[in-house]
Amino acid sequence: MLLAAAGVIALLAALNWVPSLMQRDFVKQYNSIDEAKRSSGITTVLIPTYFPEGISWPASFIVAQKRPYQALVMEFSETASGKTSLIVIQSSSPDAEKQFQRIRISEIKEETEFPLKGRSASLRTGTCDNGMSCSSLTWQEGSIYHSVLFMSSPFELIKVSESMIR
Amino acid sequence: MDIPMHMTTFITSYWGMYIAQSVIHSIIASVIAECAILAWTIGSPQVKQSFRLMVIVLSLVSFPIYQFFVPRRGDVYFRLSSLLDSNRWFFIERWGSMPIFIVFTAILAITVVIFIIQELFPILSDMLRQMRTTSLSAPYEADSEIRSKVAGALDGLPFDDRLVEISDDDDLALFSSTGLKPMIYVSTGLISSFSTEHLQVALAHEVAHIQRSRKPLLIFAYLLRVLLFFNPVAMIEFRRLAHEEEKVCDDIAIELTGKPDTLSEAIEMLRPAPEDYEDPGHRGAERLVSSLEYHSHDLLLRSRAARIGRPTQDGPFWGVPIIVAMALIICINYFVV
Repeated sequence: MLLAAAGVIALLAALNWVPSLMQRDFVKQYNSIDEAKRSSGITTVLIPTYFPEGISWPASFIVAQKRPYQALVMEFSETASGKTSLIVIQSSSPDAEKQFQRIRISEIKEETEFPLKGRSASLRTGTCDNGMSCSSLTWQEGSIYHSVLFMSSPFELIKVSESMIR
Repeated sequence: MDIPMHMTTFITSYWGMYIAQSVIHSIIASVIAECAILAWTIGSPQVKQSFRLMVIVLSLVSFPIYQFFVPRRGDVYFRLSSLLDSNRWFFIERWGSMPIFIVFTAILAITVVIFIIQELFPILSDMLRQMRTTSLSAPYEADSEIRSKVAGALDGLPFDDRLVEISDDDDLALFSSTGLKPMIYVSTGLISSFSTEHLQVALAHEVAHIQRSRKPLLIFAYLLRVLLFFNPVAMIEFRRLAHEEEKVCDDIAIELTGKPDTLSEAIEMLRPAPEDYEDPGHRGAERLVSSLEYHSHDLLLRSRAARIGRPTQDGPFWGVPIIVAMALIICINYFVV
């Protein structure tokens, strides 16, 4: 019986691997932003040039996909604790935030429209599901939806987001 | 070609994930259950029914339970480390940029059509027919010879012969209705074709159905199966469970009468002749459906007749295989999204 179960597990693992032979555009982890950018097919990837103190560059975790929709996610962590603190998501789908955000705002305290260098962005502040206060900013640029989430007050978040737009 | 956004939105939604995972989880559960039946050489139809029911129940409830305890189970990070990510298959494009999800949806659509045509519609029309016949038609009055043959066959069986309704029909028809006033319906064709002994074992089988209806496992399984109307594996497992019910009732009929050989002969006599299913008016698909019905019905009767007399008692610890199989299914399916 246990042998049969091991066989089922092996078969499932093989079935999970086969699609990557047939199509190479599915979600995958990457080591560099350039590699992820090429794979996602997003022509203009916005990268922050300002980082609040204590946030380390380069990104600690990068994932990207071309199918079923284009998406690229960069996570930056705190230098001291190594915990994810800043998440930048860029995608052709408005649903990507729900799928890709490792940390989410569980309780929204305030939601306002915010002018971000001439773009209309939505600013949310509240508490994230890890219990820390956090804020997020989302806006659309052409066909790409951008979302930046930071484990802090909105002031630093706005600076990070503004540094992405030149 | 880009995959339509509404399709990806649906697949990644709660109900989209529920449908996909329910089907995939039921396939895995069915394979593991089958392996357990083979590994532990389980022969009792009652124990096999428990396995079939387990597959249906787990297909229905596993996804909501997993999501309740781990709400992030459907997100990309969980999928990256999962054993099998269904989305990797659904979004593969083949045959002119058509995602495989469309093929999956087509299979579910066919299952829904089969459910409506073969299970829902017959039940509803039968209910309507019963309501009409009870209010309009008078029961057929059988002659005393036929009545006494039925009474003789029921002698020693725990059933009142007043609850047997005889219909004037040359075909071999025998079935029972359960509920508050259980009844056995038998045709004059069957009464005259069968000897009293054969009639006794056949009636004992129907008595077993009525006795079993006091613990309505099949109705419970059917209700769960209705909730999984889109799931082809649940449909197959429910049908196999219903087939096992016939075997359970065969075993009870043997206990009641002590005549396994006679029951085996009676079942052989009920096997349909090929011409019974050949309607000259049937063409193409109708002919195919008719032929499939004949073969599946005949196969069931043959397997029932063949197993009679073979010992099918399992050991006292038959619950262990079910618990082990269930634990394996729950653990494996958790990592299948």
